[in-house]
Amino acid sequence: MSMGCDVHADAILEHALGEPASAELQAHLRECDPCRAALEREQRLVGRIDVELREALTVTPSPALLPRVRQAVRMPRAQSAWSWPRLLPIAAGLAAVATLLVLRGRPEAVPSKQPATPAMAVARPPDPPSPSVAVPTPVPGRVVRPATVRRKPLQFEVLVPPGEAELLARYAAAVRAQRIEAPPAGVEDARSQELVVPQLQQIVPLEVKSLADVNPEGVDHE
Amino acid sequence: MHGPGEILAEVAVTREASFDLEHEFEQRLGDSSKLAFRVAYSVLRQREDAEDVAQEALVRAYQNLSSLRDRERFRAWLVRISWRLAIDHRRSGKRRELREQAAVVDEQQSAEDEAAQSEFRERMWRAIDDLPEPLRVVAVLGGIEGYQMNELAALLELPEGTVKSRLHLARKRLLQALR
Repeated sequence: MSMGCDVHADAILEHALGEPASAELQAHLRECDPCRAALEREQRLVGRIDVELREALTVTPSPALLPRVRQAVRMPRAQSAWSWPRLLPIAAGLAAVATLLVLRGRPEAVPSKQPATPAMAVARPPDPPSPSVAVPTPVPGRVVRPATVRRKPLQFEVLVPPGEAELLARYAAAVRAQRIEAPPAGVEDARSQELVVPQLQQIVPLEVKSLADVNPEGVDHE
Repeated sequence: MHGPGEILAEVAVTREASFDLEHEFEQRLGDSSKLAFRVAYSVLRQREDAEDVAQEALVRAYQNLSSLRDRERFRAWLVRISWRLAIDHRRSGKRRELREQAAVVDEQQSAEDEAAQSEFRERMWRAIDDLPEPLRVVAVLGGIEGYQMNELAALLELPEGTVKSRLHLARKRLLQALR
């Protein structure tokens, strides 16, 4: 390649990379053997780079990769996977909560209150009224003001399977946000002459420990 | 209004959706695992490290698959995750150490086998490493997937013209470095 050929060096490189040659370059290549040779060298090198790169990257992972990925993907999900046997206790728990909600709004006799005890839920019964509670004498047709009743809020503890506490908490939040229709409270039932005591309700989901975490002898060594 | 029945129905839908997700991921896994591995390998050049990165990339892809609305973008998404993880992995001190060990092994092999080819390949990888990242990604993906501009553009989520010019520039710089 002579000094005069330098002006074509970049065009030769571009042409080797696949760009079309200009008429000027084509004319020069017809006359210049060194530049033709340079073009062939560049084209061979480009081909070699492409082949080497392709070969180097035609690597395949070991057969162990897919099982590893599957295991890694499923491991964290195993603890929270939904399954119908596990949904049954949730359904029972939700039904118990719904029952409690319904019972809350029903007229109940002041002197003898029996706490609801659903089958699948552990519900903490309301504390007995303190001696200082002033319960007004019911008068037919009048609204009893909530301020006249001082009572600790009820707190129900419902057993739920691991990982399902969030669902129940959402339900409780929906109740609190009054997205679920709440039964009327604080209104005297004129027919039964019984008092409906307004109550705040809190539902506290309890996580059931996995069997793996349970000491078979039932002794806590901590 | 959200009653217990509605919440249970929602749970059932969630469960069904998670099965669908697993099924879809399983279908994509065979092809995608090679892509993730090759992208990682192009950065790390060490099989074990590349497999570790590919595994992590695939797990992340699975965990976030439900948030990917346009599933046509899955491969592009996976390439990006794999690339970033591999770059991070290479930057770690652990990776450097492994790489030095691998280089020793490679040198021994090249003495026994085809020295010239190994040397060329080594120079080529050095030249690729010296490329700016946007050019390097295009060059490597071109090596993995071929030089179909529309496919590379889809993988990189870039206009075809941009990919074409970057690929041309990358190959030109490699050519100049390997003369």
